[in-house]
Amino acid sequence: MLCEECGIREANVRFTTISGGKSYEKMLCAQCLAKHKQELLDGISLGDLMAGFLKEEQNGEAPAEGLRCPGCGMAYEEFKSKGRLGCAKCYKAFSAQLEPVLARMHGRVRHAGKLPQSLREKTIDQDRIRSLKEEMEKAVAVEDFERAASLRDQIKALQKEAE
Amino acid sequence: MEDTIALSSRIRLARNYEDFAFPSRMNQELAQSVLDRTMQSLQAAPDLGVPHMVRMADLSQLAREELVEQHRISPELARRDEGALVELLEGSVYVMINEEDHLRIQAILPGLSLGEALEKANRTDDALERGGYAFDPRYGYLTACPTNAGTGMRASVMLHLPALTLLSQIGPIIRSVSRIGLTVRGIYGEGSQANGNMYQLSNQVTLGRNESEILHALGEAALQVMQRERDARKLMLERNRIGLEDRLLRSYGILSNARKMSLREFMQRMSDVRLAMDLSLLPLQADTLDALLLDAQPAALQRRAGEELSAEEQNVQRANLVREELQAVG
Repeated sequence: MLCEECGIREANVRFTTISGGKSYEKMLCAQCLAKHKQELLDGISLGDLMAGFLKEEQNGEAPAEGLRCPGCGMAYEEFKSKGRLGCAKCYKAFSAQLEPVLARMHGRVRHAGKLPQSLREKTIDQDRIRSLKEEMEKAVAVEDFERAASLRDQIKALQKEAE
Repeated sequence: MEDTIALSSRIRLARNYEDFAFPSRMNQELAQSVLDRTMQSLQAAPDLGVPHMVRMADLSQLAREELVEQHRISPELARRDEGALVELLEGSVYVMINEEDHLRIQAILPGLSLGEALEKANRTDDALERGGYAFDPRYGYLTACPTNAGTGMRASVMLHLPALTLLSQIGPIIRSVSRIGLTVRGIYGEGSQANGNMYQLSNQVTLGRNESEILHALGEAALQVMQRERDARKLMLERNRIGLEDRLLRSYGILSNARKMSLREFMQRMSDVRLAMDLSLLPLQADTLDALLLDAQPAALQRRAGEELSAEEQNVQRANLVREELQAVG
């Protein structure tokens, strides 16, 4: 029997996989099996998963007819068929359509992880300014104006740096 | 009891440069620019080691397949002529360039060591960031596939679960980890032997949680699954020690003596032998088994032979190699 995937080499392995609660079976050659194994290892059998998310999204989606990314020219329809975006600008261009897809996939659409170095510093400064402001308000509330003035100067210095 | 249930830990970070289209929409010139920019950043980070780039276009099909077998590259990269691979930090980090995303930073370490793997991946990531990443405060690191957006991180632990497989306990585990945003991939059911009872536990969600939350959940789940595998092994020994030992040691006998062996049978017997080693029935080293597992794969065998081999010829070569290696240590 020939491999059900490449149709070239002799099949010598039965491949069983579970997807969406159903099991599928195929006879494969060693090479095609190796590819599947690697896909499993890499977790990149996500193409199908992606298609699932996109299908669910059909109902109540934002209208996308003729919508194109100004960065790479990709049409939203093309993304829907391929499941892959064309460039970084696609995220903004298709944000109305992508938001519900991302929400279904991840639950929460708000990045909570690592930041690039440049943003990391900025965020730390913003956090610091916020906490200094809170402290300043407290100082004002207890009429410790000397401390409030010193805090105000620190905040101003940080704000200037941030600009 | 010293065991090798957790075979390896892997962190993969997906990253893209902000000013180039993603690889599927790049021409050759842009693909070259991605390679150049990446090498520039790496050369400015000598603490990662001397970067040596291997281009897919310069490799034979067989050499690419061997890299896939060694888990250094994905089948996807092997198919892309514009793709390249850079090895860093003494072989613990591999950067795939021009795969589905411009950069796929992968750190792989033996055993359960997710934190250390993340640390290595992060060091590489910090160096490559000089190239200017596509990043959005709301969506995080922007990736070609939205399933990777946010942290861009896929973390995974490779687990060897022969006892749970035999006791049909993998299904319930898949269901329970999926409730906490994790997933188990592996070939199971009737075909499980073909994959040597190995399963990959990984995170599914990449957006809305930070890296340490994801790793914590994954690490805890891995420890629980490992404990369940240990319990299942104990149960099997209690129920029928002689039967289990007999089966495992027969596999060792076959591996040490067979004259031809299919990949499928090899993977199953190796799983038995690894379990026998974990149960202190055989004085083998995990390193020996790990190396043999790679060397007996189809592309590795053909590279060693220096020619293409038919499946039947591979089976003979595989048996020869296994016999030599196991007799050398036995």
